[in-house]
Amino acid sequence: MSGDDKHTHYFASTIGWNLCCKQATYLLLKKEEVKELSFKEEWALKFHLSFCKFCKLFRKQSAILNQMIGKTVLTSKAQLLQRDKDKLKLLINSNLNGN
Amino acid sequence: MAIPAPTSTHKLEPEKWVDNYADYLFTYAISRISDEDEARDLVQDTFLSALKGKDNFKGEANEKTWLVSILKRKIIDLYRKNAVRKEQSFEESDSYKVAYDHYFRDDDGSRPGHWAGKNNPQPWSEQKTNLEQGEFRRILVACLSKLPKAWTSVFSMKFMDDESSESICKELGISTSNYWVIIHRAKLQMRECLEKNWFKA
Ligand SMILES: [Zn+2]
Repeated sequence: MSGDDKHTHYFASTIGWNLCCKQATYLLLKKEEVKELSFKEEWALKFHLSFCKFCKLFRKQSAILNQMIGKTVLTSKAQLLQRDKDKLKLLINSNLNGN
Repeated sequence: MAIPAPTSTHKLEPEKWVDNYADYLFTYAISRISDEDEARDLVQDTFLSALKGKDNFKGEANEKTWLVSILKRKIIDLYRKNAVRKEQSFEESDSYKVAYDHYFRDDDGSRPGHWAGKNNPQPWSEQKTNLEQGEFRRILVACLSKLPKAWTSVFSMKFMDDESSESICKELGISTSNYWVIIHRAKLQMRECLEKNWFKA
Protein backbone atom coordinates (compact mmCIF):
# COMPACT_ATOMS: atom_id res chain seq x y z
CA MET A 1 0.00 0.00 0.00
CA SER A 2 1.46 3.34 -0.97
CA GLY A 3 1.50 6.28 1.43
CA ASP A 4 -1.61 8.02 0.22
CA ASP A 5 -3.63 4.81 0.02
CA LYS A 6 -2.88 4.17 3.65
CA HIS A 7 -4.30 7.59 4.58
CA THR A 8 -7.26 7.22 2.27
CA HIS A 9 -8.09 4.08 4.13
CA TYR A 10 -7.67 5.87 7.45
CA PHE A 11 -10.28 8.51 6.63
CA ALA A 12 -12.67 6.14 4.95
CA SER A 13 -12.81 3.69 7.80
CA THR A 14 -12.47 5.56 11.04
CA ILE A 15 -14.64 8.64 10.98
CA GLY A 16 -17.01 8.33 13.90
CA TRP A 17 -18.77 10.78 16.22
CA ASN A 18 -15.65 11.62 18.12
CA LEU A 19 -13.20 13.23 15.74
CA CYS A 20 -9.53 13.84 16.25
CA CYS A 21 -7.98 16.98 14.77
CA LYS A 22 -6.57 15.09 11.81
CA GLN A 23 -10.05 14.00 10.84
CA ALA A 24 -11.65 17.32 11.69
CA THR A 25 -9.27 19.31 9.46
CA TYR A 26 -9.80 16.76 6.69
CA LEU A 27 -13.57 17.11 6.93
CA LEU A 28 -13.58 20.87 7.10
CA LEU A 29 -11.50 21.12 3.95
CA LYS A 30 -13.87 18.72 2.26
CA LYS A 31 -16.76 20.83 3.42
CA GLU A 32 -15.28 23.94 1.79
CA GLU A 33 -15.94 22.33 -1.53
CA VAL A 34 -18.76 19.82 -1.26
CA LYS A 35 -20.83 22.05 1.06
CA GLU A 36 -22.76 19.10 2.43
CA LEU A 37 -21.13 16.36 4.42
CA SER A 38 -23.02 13.32 5.65
CA PHE A 39 -25.25 13.88 8.66
CA LYS A 40 -22.81 12.14 10.95
CA GLU A 41 -19.77 13.98 9.59
CA GLU A 42 -21.56 17.30 9.85
CA TRP A 43 -22.45 16.87 13.51
CA ALA A 44 -19.19 15.31 14.52
CA LEU A 45 -17.38 18.27 12.96
CA LYS A 46 -19.66 20.79 14.61
CA PHE A 47 -19.07 19.16 17.96
CA HIS A 48 -15.30 19.07 17.51
CA LEU A 49 -15.16 22.73 16.50
CA SER A 50 -17.16 23.69 19.56
CA PHE A 51 -14.19 22.98 21.79
CA CYS A 52 -11.06 22.76 19.62
CA LYS A 53 -9.55 26.21 19.20
CA PHE A 54 -6.77 25.03 16.87
CA CYS A 55 -9.12 23.45 14.37
CA LYS A 56 -11.32 26.53 14.55
CA LEU A 57 -8.27 28.65 13.79
CA PHE A 58 -7.32 26.28 10.99
CA ARG A 59 -10.76 26.70 9.44
CA LYS A 60 -10.54 30.47 9.56
CA GLN A 61 -7.03 30.53 8.12
CA SER A 62 -7.90 28.09 5.41
CA ALA A 63 -10.66 30.42 4.22
CA ILE A 64 -8.25 33.37 4.24
CA LEU A 65 -5.75 31.35 2.21
CA ASN A 66 -8.34 30.36 -0.39
CA GLN A 67 -9.22 33.98 -0.91
CA MET A 68 -5.67 35.26 -1.03
CA ILE A 69 -4.38 32.53 -3.31
CA GLY A 70 -7.20 33.13 -5.78
CA LYS A 71 -6.60 36.88 -5.86
CA THR A 72 -2.85 36.66 -6.09
CA VAL A 73 -2.75 34.54 -9.17
CA LEU A 74 -5.31 36.60 -11.00
CA THR A 75 -3.53 39.88 -10.54
CA SER A 76 0.15 39.14 -10.28
CA LYS A 77 2.53 39.25 -13.19
CA ALA A 78 5.72 37.46 -14.04
CA GLN A 79 7.92 38.55 -16.92
CA LEU A 80 10.05 36.68 -19.35
CA LEU A 81 13.50 38.08 -19.98
CA GLN A 82 13.91 40.10 -23.16
CA ARG A 83 16.54 37.58 -24.20
CA ASP A 84 14.00 34.77 -24.01
CA LYS A 85 11.43 36.82 -25.88
CA ASP A 86 13.85 37.49 -28.68
CA LYS A 87 14.54 33.78 -28.93
CA LEU A 88 10.82 33.05 -29.11
CA LYS A 89 10.30 35.66 -31.83
CA LEU A 90 13.08 34.18 -33.87
CA LEU A 91 11.60 30.74 -33.48
CA ILE A 92 8.12 31.87 -34.51
CA ASN A 93 9.39 33.82 -37.49
CA SER A 94 11.53 31.00 -38.77
CA ASN A 95 8.52 28.72 -38.42
CA LEU A 96 6.28 31.11 -40.30
CA ASN A 97 8.76 31.54 -43.11
CA GLY A 98 9.67 27.89 -43.26
CA ASN A 99 6.12 26.71 -43.84
CA MET B 1 -30.10 48.18 -37.07
CA ALA B 2 -27.24 46.84 -39.10
CA ILE B 3 -26.85 43.11 -39.20
CA PRO B 4 -23.28 42.10 -38.40
CA ALA B 5 -21.54 40.21 -41.15
CA PRO B 6 -21.35 36.49 -40.41
CA THR B 7 -17.61 36.35 -40.26
CA SER B 8 -15.42 34.98 -37.55
CA THR B 9 -14.08 38.12 -35.96
CA HIS B 10 -10.99 36.61 -34.40
CA LYS B 11 -7.88 36.01 -36.39
CA LEU B 12 -4.34 35.00 -35.59
CA GLU B 13 -1.31 37.24 -35.73
CA PRO B 14 1.62 35.04 -34.78
CA GLU B 15 4.14 37.86 -35.36
CA LYS B 16 2.65 39.65 -32.36
CA TRP B 17 2.24 36.67 -30.04
CA VAL B 18 5.44 37.21 -28.10
CA ASP B 19 4.78 40.89 -27.43
CA ASN B 20 1.13 40.37 -26.65
CA TYR B 21 0.97 37.11 -24.75
CA ALA B 22 4.37 35.76 -23.72
CA ASP B 23 4.34 37.36 -20.26
CA TYR B 24 0.75 36.41 -19.67
CA LEU B 25 1.33 32.78 -20.61
CA PHE B 26 4.51 32.69 -18.57
CA THR B 27 2.68 34.04 -15.52
CA TYR B 28 -0.08 31.52 -16.06
CA ALA B 29 2.37 28.65 -16.31
CA ILE B 30 4.64 29.65 -13.47
CA SER B 31 1.82 30.04 -11.00
CA ARG B 32 0.76 26.49 -11.76
CA ILE B 33 4.02 24.60 -11.91
CA SER B 34 6.27 26.91 -9.87
CA ASP B 35 9.32 26.05 -11.92
CA GLU B 36 10.71 28.86 -14.08
CA ASP B 37 12.55 26.68 -16.54
CA GLU B 38 9.62 24.40 -17.12
CA ALA B 39 7.31 27.41 -17.43
CA ARG B 40 9.55 28.96 -20.08
CA ASP B 41 9.64 25.70 -22.02
CA LEU B 42 5.87 25.44 -21.83
CA VAL B 43 5.42 28.91 -23.31
CA GLN B 44 7.66 27.95 -26.19
CA ASP B 45 5.86 24.63 -26.72
CA THR B 46 2.56 26.46 -26.66
CA PHE B 47 3.61 28.80 -29.44
CA LEU B 48 4.99 25.93 -31.49
CA SER B 49 1.83 23.85 -31.11
CA ALA B 50 -0.24 26.91 -31.93
CA LEU B 51 1.71 27.48 -35.14
CA LYS B 52 1.27 23.87 -36.09
CA GLY B 53 -2.42 23.99 -35.39
CA LYS B 54 -3.17 27.45 -36.69
CA ASP B 55 -5.17 26.15 -39.64
CA ASN B 56 -7.56 24.56 -37.17
CA PHE B 57 -8.24 27.88 -35.49
CA LYS B 58 -11.89 28.62 -36.16
CA GLY B 59 -11.98 32.13 -34.80
CA GLU B 60 -14.68 31.29 -32.28
CA ALA B 61 -12.53 32.18 -29.32
CA ASN B 62 -10.10 35.03 -29.33
CA GLU B 63 -6.44 34.43 -29.85
CA LYS B 64 -5.52 34.75 -26.19
CA THR B 65 -8.17 32.29 -24.99
CA TRP B 66 -7.08 29.87 -27.66
CA LEU B 67 -3.41 30.08 -26.66
CA VAL B 68 -4.29 29.65 -22.99
CA SER B 69 -6.31 26.55 -23.80
CA ILE B 70 -3.27 25.06 -25.53
CA LEU B 71 -1.04 25.92 -22.59
CA LYS B 72 -3.53 24.46 -20.17
CA ARG B 73 -3.54 21.18 -22.05
CA LYS B 74 0.24 21.08 -21.80
CA ILE B 75 0.22 21.79 -18.10
CA ILE B 76 -2.20 18.93 -17.52
CA ASP B 77 0.03 16.63 -19.57
CA LEU B 78 2.90 17.63 -17.36
CA TYR B 79 0.82 17.02 -14.23
CA ARG B 80 -0.06 13.58 -15.54
CA LYS B 81 3.55 12.80 -16.22
CA ASN B 82 4.46 13.87 -12.69
CA ALA B 83 1.69 11.73 -11.26
CA VAL B 84 2.97 8.69 -13.14
CA ARG B 85 6.54 9.39 -12.16
CA LYS B 86 5.38 9.61 -8.58
CA GLU B 87 4.02 6.09 -8.70
CA GLN B 88 7.16 4.78 -10.28
CA SER B 89 9.50 6.19 -7.69
CA PHE B 90 7.46 7.17 -4.71
CA GLU B 91 10.36 7.87 -2.40
CA GLU B 92 12.40 10.07 -4.65
CA SER B 93 9.71 12.52 -5.73
CA ASP B 94 8.30 12.74 -2.23
CA SER B 95 11.36 14.21 -0.62
CA TYR B 96 9.45 17.32 0.39
CA LYS B 97 6.38 15.55 1.61
CA VAL B 98 5.71 16.46 5.19
CA ALA B 99 4.34 13.51 7.15
CA TYR B 100 1.11 13.70 9.11
CA ASP B 101 2.96 13.19 12.37
CA HIS B 102 4.64 16.53 11.81
CA TYR B 103 1.25 18.00 12.74
CA PHE B 104 -0.73 15.38 14.60
CA ARG B 105 -0.06 12.97 17.45
CA ASP B 106 0.68 9.38 16.66
CA ASP B 107 -2.25 7.12 16.00
CA ASP B 108 -1.00 4.74 18.68
CA GLY B 109 -0.23 7.18 21.50
CA SER B 110 -2.45 9.19 23.80
CA ARG B 111 -5.01 11.54 22.22
CA PRO B 112 -4.22 10.10 18.78
CA GLY B 113 -4.64 12.42 15.80
CA HIS B 114 -4.86 15.62 17.85
CA TRP B 115 -2.63 18.59 17.14
CA ALA B 116 0.81 17.61 18.36
CA GLY B 117 1.95 21.00 19.63
CA LYS B 118 4.87 22.60 17.92
CA ASN B 119 3.27 23.06 14.50
CA ASN B 120 -0.22 24.00 15.64
CA PRO B 121 -1.90 26.92 13.89
CA GLN B 122 -0.97 30.24 15.47
CA PRO B 123 -2.86 33.52 15.27
CA TRP B 124 -1.92 35.58 12.22
CA SER B 125 -1.00 39.19 11.93
CA GLU B 126 -4.08 41.15 10.78
CA GLN B 127 -2.25 43.40 8.41
CA LYS B 128 -0.62 40.50 6.59
CA THR B 129 -4.04 39.29 5.47
CA ASN B 130 -4.50 42.59 3.65
CA LEU B 131 -2.74 41.69 0.52
CA GLU B 132 0.58 43.18 -0.48
CA GLN B 133 0.81 41.66 -3.92
CA GLY B 134 4.43 41.22 -4.89
CA GLU B 135 5.89 39.89 -1.68
CA PHE B 136 3.07 37.52 -0.86
CA ARG B 137 3.18 36.12 -4.35
CA ARG B 138 6.89 35.41 -4.08
CA ILE B 139 6.39 33.52 -0.84
CA LEU B 140 3.36 31.69 -2.16
CA VAL B 141 5.39 30.45 -5.12
CA ALA B 142 8.25 29.43 -2.84
CA CYS B 143 5.88 27.44 -0.61
CA LEU B 144 4.18 25.83 -3.60
CA SER B 145 7.53 24.74 -4.95
CA LYS B 146 8.14 22.77 -1.76
CA LEU B 147 5.12 20.56 -2.30
CA PRO B 148 5.58 17.28 -4.11
CA LYS B 149 4.87 18.02 -7.78
CA ALA B 150 1.76 15.90 -7.98
CA TRP B 151 0.27 17.86 -5.08
CA THR B 152 1.11 21.19 -6.67
CA SER B 153 -0.93 20.12 -9.68
CA VAL B 154 -3.98 19.29 -7.62
CA PHE B 155 -3.56 22.40 -5.51
CA SER B 156 -3.22 24.78 -8.46
CA MET B 157 -6.11 23.30 -10.38
CA LYS B 158 -8.35 23.66 -7.36
CA PHE B 159 -7.32 27.02 -5.98
CA MET B 160 -6.13 28.85 -9.07
CA ASP B 161 -8.33 27.43 -11.79
CA ASP B 162 -11.32 26.86 -9.57
CA GLU B 163 -11.89 23.45 -11.05
CA SER B 164 -14.24 20.98 -9.42
CA SER B 165 -12.93 17.89 -7.70
CA GLU B 166 -14.61 15.71 -10.33
CA SER B 167 -12.83 17.33 -13.23
CA ILE B 168 -9.48 17.36 -11.43
CA CYS B 169 -9.76 13.66 -10.59
CA LYS B 170 -10.74 12.91 -14.16
CA GLU B 171 -7.97 14.94 -15.74
CA LEU B 172 -5.27 13.60 -13.44
CA GLY B 173 -6.62 10.10 -13.10
CA ILE B 174 -6.80 9.98 -9.30
CA SER B 175 -9.54 8.66 -7.03
CA THR B 176 -11.81 11.02 -5.10
CA SER B 177 -10.60 9.83 -1.73
CA ASN B 178 -6.99 10.20 -2.78
CA TYR B 179 -7.86 13.70 -3.99
CA TRP B 180 -9.11 14.70 -0.53
CA VAL B 181 -6.04 13.29 1.17
CA ILE B 182 -3.83 15.30 -1.19
CA ILE B 183 -5.84 18.48 -0.59
CA HIS B 184 -5.64 17.89 3.15
CA ARG B 185 -1.90 17.34 3.23
CA ALA B 186 -1.11 20.10 0.75
CA LYS B 187 -3.22 22.56 2.71
CA LEU B 188 -1.60 21.63 6.01
CA GLN B 189 1.81 22.13 4.49
CA MET B 190 0.94 25.37 2.68
CA ARG B 191 -0.71 26.81 5.76
CA GLU B 192 2.35 26.09 7.84
CA CYS B 193 4.80 27.39 5.25
CA LEU B 194 2.86 30.61 4.72
CA GLU B 195 2.41 31.09 8.44
CA LYS B 196 6.13 30.80 9.07
CA ASN B 197 7.15 32.98 6.16
CA TRP B 198 4.37 35.49 5.85
CA PHE B 199 1.54 35.55 8.36
CA LYS B 200 3.51 35.21 11.54
CA ALA B 201 2.22 37.81 13.98
ZN1 LIG C 1 -9.09 19.83 16.63
